[in-house]
Formats: sequence, structure tokens, C-alpha cells
Amino acid sequence: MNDIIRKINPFSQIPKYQIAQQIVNFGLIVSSALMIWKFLMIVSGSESPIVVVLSGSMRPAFDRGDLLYLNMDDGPFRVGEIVVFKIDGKDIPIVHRILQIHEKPSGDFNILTKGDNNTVDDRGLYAEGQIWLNREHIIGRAKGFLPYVGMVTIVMHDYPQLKILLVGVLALFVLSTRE
Amino acid sequence: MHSVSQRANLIVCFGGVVLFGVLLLNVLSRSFFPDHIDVNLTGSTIKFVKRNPVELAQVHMSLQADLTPLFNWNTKQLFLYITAEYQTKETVVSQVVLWDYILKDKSKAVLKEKDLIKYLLIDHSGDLRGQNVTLTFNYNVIPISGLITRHKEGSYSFKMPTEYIN
Repeated sequence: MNDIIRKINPFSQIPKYQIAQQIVNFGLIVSSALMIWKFLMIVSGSESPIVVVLSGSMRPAFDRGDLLYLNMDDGPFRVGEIVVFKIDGKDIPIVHRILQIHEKPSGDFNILTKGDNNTVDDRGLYAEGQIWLNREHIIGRAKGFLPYVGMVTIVMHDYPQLKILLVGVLALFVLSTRE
Repeated sequence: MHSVSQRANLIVCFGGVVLFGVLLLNVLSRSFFPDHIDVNLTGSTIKFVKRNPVELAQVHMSLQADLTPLFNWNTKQLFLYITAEYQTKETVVSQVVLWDYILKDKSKAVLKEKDLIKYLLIDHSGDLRGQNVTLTFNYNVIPISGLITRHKEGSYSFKMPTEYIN
């Protein structure tokens, strides 16, 4: 029995120190990905610097699966800017354009948004009784655009099993390949 | 010596770097294209009413502009919009979009519009009578890939009527 397991097991031929090295390598890849994300957060000032467009409400500018780079600094918000915001009680952030803005002397502002492809403004999407967006709702403004790249995330979001499979295969691949 | 997976990995990595380089060149290339446009914009209030708690105004605008220079190899579409900017006793700055249009076709980039009315000017402060309003023509370039930019060109100022017009 032990012989069979030893034959099937891809790790049995590899010395133990090398397995340890592969695990460290794997950790290195994961942590550098995390470092890049956190670094982007600092540079952009946004809590989520890269978002994938999930709906067609900004067609023809953005379609499902397009990637946006967000940033939070440089100046006050102005009408016509494309912003990403989150409504209280809803999980999925929305990418829409500012239609109206009223800035108060205190620096706070009221914003009304609308999707390019929608015929009416977003008041129907906001929380019940809410007629304006304020600073705390806004995650960032769209500054950069890359088409199609986010399609991978959309496919993985629609089929969660695929995500587990992909991570599993990648992990096995990283652990079992030798230099 | 080199396994299939190593070769595949190298091709994907190198391909990614090359694509990123091309993207960077593409973004930088925009500065070599001319982006000066001439815009002629005017407007006037044709309707002005109070419907508690808001004031509504209908602004009639005319616009002449040639946007052909803005179309280059990295232009997916232009988002055109006219904003009304004003101050009230409650706000430092208020901006409202009065008209917008999505332009995808270079052959339709010469605009000669006489009767532009799309959105109403809606104000919640109740302080719109007699205010100075500045209309501005803006455009937002959506690239095929790269940076999203906004520009403004051409403006026109007028005073809101001191009495409501029905």
C-alpha cells in the first residue's frame, strides 16, 4: 500500500527541503500580490483602487468585464465625473456619472448620479428616502480604463467552483514544479 | 531542459510586459494629437417656476462646435455635456448637467445645434432668482484603453430672471 502511495504521490520524489522551499515560494507570491494591492491603495487613496464593471448601465463607455482604475484625491468632485459609490445596505458598488452636485460651505456635498445608458437618474437605486449621495458613499473616481480584462473575475464570480479549481491547480503547480 | 510549462510561463509573462509597454506608448501618444477645438455656446431661460420645495428652470441652448480633432486612434467615444454653474445662499458651488450626448462617430463630430433642451435646472435652495449662471461645454474622452480625461471649452454667462416665468 505504501509503495503505491509513494508512486502516485508527486511529492515523494522531491526532498523535504525542496518542498519547504516551494511552500515559501508560494507564500512569497501571495504576499507580493497583497503588497501590490496595498501599495495601489496608498497611491490612489481609494479603499478599492481597481474595480470590475458588473453591469451595462454605462454602455457604450463601459461594458461588463471592463477594468477601472480608481483614485480619490486631486480636487473636489465635479459634474460629469464617473464615480464609484456604495449604497448603505447594498454590497455591490455602482459605477455612474455625476449629474448634479451642490457643494456646501462646510465642504460637504450633495451628489446626484445617473448611468449613461439609463433614462432616469439614480434616486430609485439609492436607499429608501435617500435623495443625495455624500462623501462617505463614494469609493473613488474612474481615472483609467482597460477593456475585457475583468472578464476573468466575472466568470469566476458566476461559477464559484471554477475559482476553487483554479486556485487548487495553481497551488499544486507551484508546489510540484522543480527549478 | 526547458519544460512546456516554463516556456508557457515565459511567453505569458513577456506578452504581458509587451502589452503594458504598448499601452503606455498609446497613452503617451495622445499628447501628439491636436486637441484644440472652437466652441460657441449661448443660452437663455425660457421657463422658470417654483414647485415647492424646488425651483425649476428650462434653459434653451444653442451650440456650435467642431470636435473632429478629438477623434484619434485611442478614442472610443466622447461624452459631451453642458453644465450650469451657480451659487446660492446654501452652496459654494452648484453644478447641474442640462444636456448630454454620446458621440461615437467622427463623421457626426461637427455640431450645429440650435434647440438644445434635455434636463431641467432643478435647485433645492429656493434662491435661484437673479443668480448668475454660467453655462460651460465639457467633454469626457473615453479611450479604447488608458486614461479617462475631462476637458472644458467655451462658456456663456447669463442672469436668471428675477420673476418666475410660466
